Amino acid sequence: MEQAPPIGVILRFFLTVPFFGVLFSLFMFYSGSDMLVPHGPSAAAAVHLLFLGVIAMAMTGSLFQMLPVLAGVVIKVPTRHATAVHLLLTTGTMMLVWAFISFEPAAYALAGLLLGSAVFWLALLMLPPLLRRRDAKDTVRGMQIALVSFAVAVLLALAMLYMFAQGEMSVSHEAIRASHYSFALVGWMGMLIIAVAFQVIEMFYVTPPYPGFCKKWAWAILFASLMLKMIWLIFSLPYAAVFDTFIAVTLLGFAVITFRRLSQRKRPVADATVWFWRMGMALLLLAVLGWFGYTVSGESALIPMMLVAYGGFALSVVFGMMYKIVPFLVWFHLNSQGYFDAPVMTEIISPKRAKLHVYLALMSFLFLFGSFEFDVLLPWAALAMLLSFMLLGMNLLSASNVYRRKRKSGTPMDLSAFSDMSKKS
Amino acid sequence: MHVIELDVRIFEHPVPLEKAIAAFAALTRGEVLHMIHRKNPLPLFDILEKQGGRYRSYEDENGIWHILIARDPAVDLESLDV
Repeated sequence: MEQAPPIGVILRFFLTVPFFGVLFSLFMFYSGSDMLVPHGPSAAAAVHLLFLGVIAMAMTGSLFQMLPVLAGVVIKVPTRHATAVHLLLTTGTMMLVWAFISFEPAAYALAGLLLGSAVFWLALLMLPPLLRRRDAKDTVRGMQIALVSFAVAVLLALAMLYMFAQGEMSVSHEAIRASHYSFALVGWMGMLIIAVAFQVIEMFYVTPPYPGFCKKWAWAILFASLMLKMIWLIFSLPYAAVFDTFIAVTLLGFAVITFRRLSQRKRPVADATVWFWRMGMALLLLAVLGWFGYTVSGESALIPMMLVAYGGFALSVVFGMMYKIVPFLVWFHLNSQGYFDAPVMTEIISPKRAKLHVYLALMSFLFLFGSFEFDVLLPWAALAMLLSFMLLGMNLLSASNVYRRKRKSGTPMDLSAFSDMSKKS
Repeated sequence: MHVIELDVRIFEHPVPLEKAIAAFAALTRGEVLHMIHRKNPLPLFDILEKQGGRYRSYEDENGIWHILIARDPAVDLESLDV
């Protein structure tokens, strides 16, 4: 059962996360409050740096790791595929950000080509084996829908990039844009987080499982709402906001149940990863409440706040997952090579340094929310975010150094002597 | 045959894996590790296979997983009744 891909397959995606995180933080310094203007080019550049460069990058790396373990899907020659997807995603994100800043038609076209190739490569690689799972339910179904949503989001983005490159907007531009971000934020990111949470919250934190109806219906409600919303928007049908209500209520339910599950842990010792999950759920609640507030009051100032809260939700969960996955990978690969004296997982990334990351991330979100009222707080938010990503980078590098050092200087334990002795007797 | 019991149901990830691997490395001739877990620990099986270990896992009627692990090739895991 050769399930696990080489450690480098996942680490290349994870180590790129702090790189884009630092770029995102520097962009916050550079663009200031322009970044918080909805639909503006700075906002578009910042959103894509965060959602593609940081969050989608981490999620793609996690999928390479989790598909074999959670869905029983084995990817052949994973290094080759990971190299291609990583290269396309990295260069495509940089090109897209450049396109938003420069308004260069060629940059839009090239970004579309690179990012489209990255996502369709990923979908073609992972979807067929996932779809072949006849017993697909809960997590596997959620992963299928998340990948399909990512592909739909990119198709809609390609349509928009084509229009940008041509320099003309279609009458359906607003409908395509709303459908694009709905599929990307809810269908891809939200769905993948929910699907993974169904497995890992119970498994990692020893909680009761999510309710059966929740596992069974969450993906169906979200995907049906997204599809119907897109159709409603494109044909300008009335009451499209009804579908947003279904989405908001589902996300609200997910956040509340996850909070509850985390409070029902049998051994309530909270490490950094638990705090990241809690922070993520608090931010998701804030995003959903912001949406309800906007729907009732029509107050447009709530839109950037919602987006920041939603980005913070995905980012917090990604941080929490990385602090679980990376020490596990280092430990797992060393042990499977026979280095049984390798450090235990809690020693691979110092819990204190992981906790410090929680505080820095929290500070960056608080400053960011504060900056909606007081502009002067935005550089402080950027500074806290910059330090947060630099610390993440250091933590990930020190973990990969543990692996490299052990491989270089350690000696695998020879367990074969036991079998030989037994054969001789 | 000596069966060593390892109940890891109350431990959060990653403790069950670490305890199982430490116990596996310490197994001697005729010994079997009986791990009791909430889940079927697939990553553990990868490590066991690469290190010459053998295992059998099954889920009981209460949804609890039992994983029998041996290093001794003479141990017949299939006929072991635990």
